[in-house]
Amino acid sequence: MDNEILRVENLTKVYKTDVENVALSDINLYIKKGSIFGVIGLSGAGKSTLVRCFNFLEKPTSGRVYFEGKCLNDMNDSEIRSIRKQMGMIFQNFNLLEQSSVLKNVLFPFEIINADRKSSIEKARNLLKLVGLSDKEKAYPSNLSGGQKQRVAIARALALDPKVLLCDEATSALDPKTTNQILDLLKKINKELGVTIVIITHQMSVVESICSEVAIIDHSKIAEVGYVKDIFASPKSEIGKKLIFGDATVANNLNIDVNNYSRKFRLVFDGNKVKEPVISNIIMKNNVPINILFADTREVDGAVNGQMIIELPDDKNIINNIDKYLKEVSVVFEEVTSDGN
Amino acid sequence: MATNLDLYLTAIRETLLIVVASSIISYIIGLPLGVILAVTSKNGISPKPVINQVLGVIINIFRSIPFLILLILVLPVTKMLVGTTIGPIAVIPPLVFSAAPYIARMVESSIMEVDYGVIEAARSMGASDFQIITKVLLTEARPNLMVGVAITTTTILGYSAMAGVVGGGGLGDVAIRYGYYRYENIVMFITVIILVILVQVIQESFLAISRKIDKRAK
Repeated sequence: MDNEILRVENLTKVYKTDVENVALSDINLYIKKGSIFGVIGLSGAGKSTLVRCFNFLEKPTSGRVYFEGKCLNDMNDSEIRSIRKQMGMIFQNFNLLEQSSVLKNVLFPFEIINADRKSSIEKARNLLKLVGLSDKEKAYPSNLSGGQKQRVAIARALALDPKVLLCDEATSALDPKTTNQILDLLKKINKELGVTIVIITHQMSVVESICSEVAIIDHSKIAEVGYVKDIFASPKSEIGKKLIFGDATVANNLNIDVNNYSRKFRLVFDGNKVKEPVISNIIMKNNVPINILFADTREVDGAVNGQMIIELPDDKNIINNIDKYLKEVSVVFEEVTSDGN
Repeated sequence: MATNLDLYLTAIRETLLIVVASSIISYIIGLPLGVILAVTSKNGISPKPVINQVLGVIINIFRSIPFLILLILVLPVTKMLVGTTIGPIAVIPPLVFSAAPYIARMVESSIMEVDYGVIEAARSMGASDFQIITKVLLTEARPNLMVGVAITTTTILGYSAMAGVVGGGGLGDVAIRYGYYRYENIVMFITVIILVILVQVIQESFLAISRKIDKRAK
């Protein structure tokens, strides 16, 4: 694991208020240098606590956190502060200094390390150029749109040339178009500056469009972790299925057809590999009527992924034939049970 | 006597001296105390319950003593500090004793209003607690602190008028000596008018400054 940058071992975080509240339970995770790693889960799953454990904004109750092989647990406050300078962080609510201009906001990290004023200003201007806000340096946050605020926050987070950029629900307060622009910017930062990016989100679309790996967190635990394209093709955990087939689950629940003479199946295919007209072939080969209940394509990590839910007559022979054929053309074929999974 | 301009001008000068000097000294003491209160509170950046509670109790004690009583209570301290117990200078110590704890609470509440997210962002950049105080809390709270200045200085102005009772000089002194003891109601009336105008001018100026420096959406 030479190329790992962040690792957590047996990480547990318990908040003690009136009652004990377990935010994270026995999390093991490692993140590769240069990757874009997603952490997804429903709200309250513990993902924001997890990202704060990476830079020790939250101290774990037990378990260890490593940055570039160095264990944060063994460090004193000033050593932890110097580690934080190597990890930028952006937030859902941007968290800009409201009383400072855009330029002063980006200068803030330089002030913390008492950097030379002149070269700081030059670097800050370059960062504003990188995020496309050169003309806004004199503006104040209240005059900016949400997307612009997040760009300022990104410029500020990149000021000290961090190795990691932690993004805590960075696009959750933005509209879809702005979200895509910010995600493109993050992709560019990852590619051009080689910054490892950790994205905390509850939006599957965010993971789909930029992450290479993903950890799904559910009820304080990791439900599933791996490459996005693998997990998307066949999620194993309940929560994974819910998040990935979310739309399809809705279609199921509409009970488009629940008669006992038919069964429902899910097809998942890689748009770049499957060139055959699969559905037509099934119909013609088996002489069987197919009812398409749901269909959707998404772009996942550069590849087009399609999924479809179809209804077939309850005939073992036909279903076996179809199963065989779909295995040949490497299309995932699985039955959808009535509870939506 | 009522038309003697010099009387009023001297009184105004004395009053302004008392208010400006007391305000500055009170802020020198009250501002750091307020910062300590905010920083050490349960939701502060460095919670220290013992320090917070001890300081809080001391401040509350001073805040609960009526100014007129405090004025007399601290006479020995006043004598020790400024060498006299009469005249405008002698009014400054009791005003400071009264205003500094008040300022501490105002500063505390202004700082507590700073968005926690901004503090967290500064922390994520590796800022120390001291840097967070100077570069985040005090700068972000500036407009609110300025509102505090408006309220404090006008309160000190009002209190300074009470100092007339102990021969403290200023407008209050004139009002009591001429207006009350000598039944020259017109003098009392004029000094009150002057006080009202001073309060308005000071209050509005600081509020205007606060509005001007506030860069949040209005």
